[in-house]
Amino acid sequence: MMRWIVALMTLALGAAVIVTFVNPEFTLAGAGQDWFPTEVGRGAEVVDDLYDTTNWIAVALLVLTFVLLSWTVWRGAGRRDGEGSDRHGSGGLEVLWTAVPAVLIAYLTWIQIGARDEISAATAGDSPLVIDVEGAQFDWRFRYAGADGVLGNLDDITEVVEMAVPIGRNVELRMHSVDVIHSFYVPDLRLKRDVVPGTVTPLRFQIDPEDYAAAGSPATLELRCAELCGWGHYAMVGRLRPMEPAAFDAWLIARGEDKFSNRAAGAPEEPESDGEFEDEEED
Amino acid sequence: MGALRAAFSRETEVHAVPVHEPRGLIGRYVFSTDHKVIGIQFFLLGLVMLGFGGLLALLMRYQLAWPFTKVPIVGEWLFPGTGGAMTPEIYTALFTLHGTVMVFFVVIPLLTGAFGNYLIPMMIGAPDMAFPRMNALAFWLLIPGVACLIMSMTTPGGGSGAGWTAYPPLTTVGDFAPGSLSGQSWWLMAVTFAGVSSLLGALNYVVTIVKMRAPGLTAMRLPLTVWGLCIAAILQLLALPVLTSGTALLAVDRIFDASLFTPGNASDGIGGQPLLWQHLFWFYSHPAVYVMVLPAMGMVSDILSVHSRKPVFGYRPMVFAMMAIAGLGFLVWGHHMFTSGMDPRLEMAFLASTMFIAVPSGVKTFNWLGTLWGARIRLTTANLFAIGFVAQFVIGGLSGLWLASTPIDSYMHDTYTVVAHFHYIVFGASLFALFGGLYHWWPKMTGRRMHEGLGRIHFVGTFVGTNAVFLMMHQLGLRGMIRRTADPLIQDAVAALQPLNVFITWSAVALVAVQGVFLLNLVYGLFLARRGEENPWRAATLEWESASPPPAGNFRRVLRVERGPYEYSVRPENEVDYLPQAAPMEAP
Repeated sequence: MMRWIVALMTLALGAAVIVTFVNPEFTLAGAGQDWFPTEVGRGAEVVDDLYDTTNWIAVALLVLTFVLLSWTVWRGAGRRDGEGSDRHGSGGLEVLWTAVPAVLIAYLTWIQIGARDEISAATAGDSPLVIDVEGAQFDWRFRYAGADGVLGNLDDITEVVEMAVPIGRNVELRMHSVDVIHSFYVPDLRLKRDVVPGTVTPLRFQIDPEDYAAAGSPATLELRCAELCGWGHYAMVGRLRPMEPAAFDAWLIARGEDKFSNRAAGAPEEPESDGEFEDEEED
Repeated sequence: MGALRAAFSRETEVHAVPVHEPRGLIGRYVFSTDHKVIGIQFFLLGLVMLGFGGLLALLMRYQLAWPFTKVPIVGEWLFPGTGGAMTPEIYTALFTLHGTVMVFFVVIPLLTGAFGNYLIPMMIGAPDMAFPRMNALAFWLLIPGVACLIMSMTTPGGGSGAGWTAYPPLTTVGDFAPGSLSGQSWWLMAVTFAGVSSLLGALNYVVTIVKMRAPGLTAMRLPLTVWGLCIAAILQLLALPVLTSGTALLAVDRIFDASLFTPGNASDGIGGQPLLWQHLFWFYSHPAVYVMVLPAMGMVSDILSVHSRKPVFGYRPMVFAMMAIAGLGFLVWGHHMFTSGMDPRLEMAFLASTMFIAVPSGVKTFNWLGTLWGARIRLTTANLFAIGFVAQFVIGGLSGLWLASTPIDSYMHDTYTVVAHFHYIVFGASLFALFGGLYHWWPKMTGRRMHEGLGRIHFVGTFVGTNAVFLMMHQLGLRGMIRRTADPLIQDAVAALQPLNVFITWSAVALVAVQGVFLLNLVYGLFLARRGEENPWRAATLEWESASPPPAGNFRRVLRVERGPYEYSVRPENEVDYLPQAAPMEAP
């Protein structure tokens, strides 16, 4: 009885793992779609392809090991005393199951090189839009160059939580942190990169127009902090807002004009900086 | 080198350690230097901490299924300040404690401390460890370690909330996290105590195995359990000093504001380097993964062989595979840092070394299958857990292929896929080996057998429960659910899968409940079972030459080893189907 239970449990587990790994279109929990989120990044499809390739190897090995395991257990538990073999090993088999996995692994390692090149080539090219990204407990801040096209001066345009990005244009992030390590993670772009204090980390991506349209043109893409950054880590979320390039340029100009028209209209000019100045004097 | 070879090849003589029965209850059971008593002390501490860590996991699972709602039964008692619901601070402290307890106070002490202590002298035919007092010290250092851990939870600001990885600057600057006040310092002390304890143990194991083997017990006649423990101990000897100096440096940063890991300013690059800690930490903590699995691999090989009445298939390749895993294990720590922004050329090197660990792991898997092939298998509880180990080790190994690939890892890193992956190894593999080992060596330790029927229920429940809990975590991670989140509902894409989180939580409740059967079996095995045979499994290795339970000094005679450890299903013209390692008792 027990040998049937063990053999069937093992087979069932193997089947469940294969179903889990190969990522079919489930309808569990009303998801009704691929387990992976939509994919809108240029070069991001390489990740999904690599995942599939890895799984062909994984599934082959899973089928082999789980069928062998459940068969040998089922068969072996049915033998009687004195019917067992006393074989100590086999040189030929050892060579076989060292060499074949080694070749598979060498192949798997080899294709990583091409994949990595393909991903970096997808966003290569000059003059990307540069956005300064600042991670802070527990929000994301973004800074665009203003009308002068230079980052780091007074006409910079600042945003919090939501980062507008043009579709079909290379974007280069310059990421830094004011406090602890954060991690910039956009599932739909298949991208994750740590934001380390004391370092400026570059990260390039591009929202692919065709992929974006194929994904149903979502209004925003989820941005998450992926590295534990304190008690509020779970809530450190942001958004990417993909925009048509023309609309994006218009938005950027409008944001710049807002800023200066406020100032021209006599809006109080950063009152908190006065406060800081006074503090320093008192010190 | 010559000395090393001599140490391993010559017929070592058992050193005459003076054996005197300790007097009094305290001398015998508390401050004992007998390796068996110390091993059992490690067992008790480890099993208690396992229960504690498991309950912490249940609390975490409750939060993930029904975030920020009142925890039933224990909520008002545990979290009176919030009407019985958790806060994010409490949740971060919970998973930090869970990881720390399970790694440093459960899996490592149980596998190397408990099994290592109990089995090494018994399996090599020695009367005790090489350094019995140091051995006792290794255990007693864990007690202040546990005390520091408890202290860390009671300090103002609460326990450390920085994860078991303790990345600075979250852990070095008090303002950044509530638990980064004194709670983090206590945490560092706890880990340091556990580390020094392991270091003393490891030194002891290596010396004992090299110097105190019974005559005739050459290196290639050692049971694989001893090989696994020996290689794990060497890993600890080489890697633990790095962790211990790392924790010391982190303490210097915290206490004296030294800025070793803390950058001085956000963007000017002046000051310490946070990534340095990650290198130091993972240089230890990746080999630590193999410390947690190599002894388990050895034990599983022994259990499969004994209960399937078949020699371990490919003994030498098994030994070399363990050595290869350990050697490569030192070259792969960077794969924990693929998204940290380190040099891309390093990424490629770590990618390749990580991938190739799959080759010796595959050799081990196929040799276990070879051991079972053609065998006369007895489905005892010990064997069932060993078979479960093989299945789940394969799953955990194959999901590692994704994480070794830097492009895929840049998607999966810090998601629940990683959580699923390493739980398949430390729970699905290491803990299964631990249960199997307990069922297998229980008759040796107590002279009684645990109940096989209860054992089978325990196995089936644990096997189904483990996979119900951890398998679907792969899916949550593929969907983008991040680790260490107190509230999965915040992620829109993941929120749609919330029924999965609820399912996992109920499965975890069932998995913990099934361990009640195990507790029942422990009680049965301690008090109710009849005292049985000396060698109920008809095992060939040396530990069964002694009485069960063994007396102080272990063996009444000098053992002379004549053959390898796995001579099963041989068909001599007598009633037994195996040849014991030791020569038969000589006529007086």
